[in-house]
Amino acid sequence: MIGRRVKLVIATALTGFLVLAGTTAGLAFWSASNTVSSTVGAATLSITTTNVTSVGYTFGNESLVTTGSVTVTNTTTTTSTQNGAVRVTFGPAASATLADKVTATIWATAAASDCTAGATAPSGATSALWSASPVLTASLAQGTSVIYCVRSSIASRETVATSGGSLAFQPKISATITVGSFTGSANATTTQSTQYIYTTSTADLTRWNWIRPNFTSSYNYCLDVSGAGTASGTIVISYGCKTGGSANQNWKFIASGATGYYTIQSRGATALRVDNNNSTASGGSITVNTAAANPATATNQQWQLQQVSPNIYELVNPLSGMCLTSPSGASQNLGNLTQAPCSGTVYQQFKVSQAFENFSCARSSSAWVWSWDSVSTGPYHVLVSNGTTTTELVTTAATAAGATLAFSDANYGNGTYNVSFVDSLDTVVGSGTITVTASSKKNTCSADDFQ
Amino acid sequence: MTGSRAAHPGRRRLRAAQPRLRRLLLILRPTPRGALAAAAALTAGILVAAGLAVGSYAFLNSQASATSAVTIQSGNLALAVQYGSGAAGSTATIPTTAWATMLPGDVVGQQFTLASTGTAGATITARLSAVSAWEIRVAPGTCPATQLAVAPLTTTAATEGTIPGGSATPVCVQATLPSSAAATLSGTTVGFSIILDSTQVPS
Repeated sequence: MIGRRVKLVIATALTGFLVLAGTTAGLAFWSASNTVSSTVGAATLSITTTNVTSVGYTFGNESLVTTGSVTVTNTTTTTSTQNGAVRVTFGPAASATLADKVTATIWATAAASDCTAGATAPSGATSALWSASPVLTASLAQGTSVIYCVRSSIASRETVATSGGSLAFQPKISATITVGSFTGSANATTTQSTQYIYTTSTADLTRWNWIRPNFTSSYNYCLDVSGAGTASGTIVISYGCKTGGSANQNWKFIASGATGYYTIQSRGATALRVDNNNSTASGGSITVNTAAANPATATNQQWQLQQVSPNIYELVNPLSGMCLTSPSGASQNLGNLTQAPCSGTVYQQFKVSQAFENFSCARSSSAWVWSWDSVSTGPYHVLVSNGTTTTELVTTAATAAGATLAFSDANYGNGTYNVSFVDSLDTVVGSGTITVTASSKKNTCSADDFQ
Repeated sequence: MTGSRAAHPGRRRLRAAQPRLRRLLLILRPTPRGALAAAAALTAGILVAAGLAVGSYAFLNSQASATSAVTIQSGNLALAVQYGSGAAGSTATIPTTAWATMLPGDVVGQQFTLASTGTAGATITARLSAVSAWEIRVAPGTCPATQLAVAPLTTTAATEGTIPGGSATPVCVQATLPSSAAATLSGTTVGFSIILDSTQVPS
């Protein structure tokens, strides 16, 4: 039996122990807490393409190559030192015929000023049609750029020739920059087009022709060997079309041996050919020079007929790519023809009218009957003048090789009448007379092909 | 006898008082059950008081670290964080500039100092206040050029080590924008807080 006092002591001791034990455990787990805070952020990738307009160009017969440049810059604002993977696509904004004709040759360079017409593309340059959308890649750090020279070239003017003379497409240069799944992009477009490059035409190699600039002032003008000269180097001029002794105004196309290109022979000096004197300069004088021994390679004597409209052509020299150009003015002699970049003016458009050959007239019963060999620039209009009035009496069929004028007392009193033959290009290609006498059996006629 | 007598009056008074004392002692008599009950009550009271006391410390510590800008000292355990030339305290803010425009794959480290200004060492754990698309890592020491070879922090505390009393150590905190970060993160910002919990090392 435990005494009361003992119990009291035990209870007190237990209480003290528990108090001390509890207090010790609490002190052992004192703690503290600190906080470190900040804000993190992710960059937005950005890239630019500049100077894209320098890739734009208008191609002409004389200019089938252009060189521009594009600068692609990583404009991202970032604390990162990572390079962005850059992918630049050179393609058309939309499908277009011209995009399938123009080759883009692209190479990286140190400065845009390197991208000159004379710059040589390195062997590693990328070359593909614009329609193939070639892609170049680069790795760009923040704030750095890559500069690409972009040379656009057309293999030959024939590949882009059209009846309308023009094609166009929009080159689109698209750049993307990527780091992980982050991307940024930019693009810019420009325009490339062709102008005054018309479909080539096949010349009639059998006939002499009048070649006339497509304008009229005081005269109808014809290409003319100045002074009817026969010496090599004689200039070719625009001169009022003649109605006699006009061999120096008649020309024949001769196959040069280069497909689609002809030499142009003077009827008055058959050993001579129209020649640009190996000039590639605008304004270069056009002369007739001795025919080259190898016309297939003598591009200075080659000319291409590009048809602007039926029987109206640009005459393009392959050496310079320039158009035969007539002076303008109103005097009988406008002076020396030159070459110049094709600009679509009437001074660079020429009507080619076949000259009458074997032109003759005969009376048949009570009618006058003319005949000729050339038929390609009809229909022909037969105009009769009694000295005061001119009347169109006959219009032939388009390919007629002759015309018949029926005699009528009502129409023709006694006398002599002048007759003109005008082709569909308003070129007077022949003339004649009819004479009416008291006896119709004595009616006569004549024919003149102006030679 | 006088003396006795002299004593007698006292005895008489005592005797006279005894019945009242007996009744009082009877009332206060410690029976075994009463003694145990009293001890239990006392123990419970002390334990409750002690428990409330420990809870009060923890509560005060927690509040201090979350809201105060000054170093809280709880007993002999006192820790402070400091970034750069900023003031040491219970909180530190690392400027956003350091990692404001990161790209996927970027690892950016910033260093702060953890100091124990008390006399006792402490075990440190770290956790994030909220989950983040960025990976946040911490490790003692200066920041390496490469990613810390530790797991990224989560909202669950992870032990980072101990710090002796009266010492300071550099701590590297790294933010990593994973290479697989979604494109939608581009151009966004997000705040984060690293909570460093320290527990006194028992001595």
